[in-house]
Amino acid sequence: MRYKRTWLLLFATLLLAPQLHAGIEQVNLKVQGMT
Amino acid sequence: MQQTLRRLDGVANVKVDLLDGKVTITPKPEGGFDPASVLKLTYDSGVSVVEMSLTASGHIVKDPVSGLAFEITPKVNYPIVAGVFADKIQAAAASGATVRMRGIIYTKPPGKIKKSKEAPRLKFEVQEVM
Repeated sequence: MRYKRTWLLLFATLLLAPQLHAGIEQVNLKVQGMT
Repeated sequence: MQQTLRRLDGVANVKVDLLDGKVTITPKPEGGFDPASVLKLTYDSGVSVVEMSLTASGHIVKDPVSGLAFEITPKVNYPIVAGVFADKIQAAAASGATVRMRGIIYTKPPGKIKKSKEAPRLKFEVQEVM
């Protein structure tokens, strides 16, 4: 019972933490000659 | 140019800022996009890319040439130029965790570019580890 809150907090953190997936999010280009 | 880039594999959205000469490409979340294809396409259309940077998540893996490489997908990976982020990169390599970074993968070389059939060797020059 003593560690119930700690376990709940740990579980909630893991559940709600944003998962990092491999991949390209954004590509930025600086270009010349574009009309 | 916007329409041409949008036709590339794995591209979800293209935003062009004519005034600043900036183009932002958002790939599809399911992948399939290779930034190297942009360089070839823009070169063929008469537009020259001065700089290409990207934000991506991936793993740090060993590279036989440069030491370490940023592997975003098995097909898309770049040798790393870590600079001041060397310690962070080494730690990420040791942990094997997924790391999110922003970096420059292409800078136009000074002077005239000689037409070559070979694509330029891209490197990931780390600008930010997030």
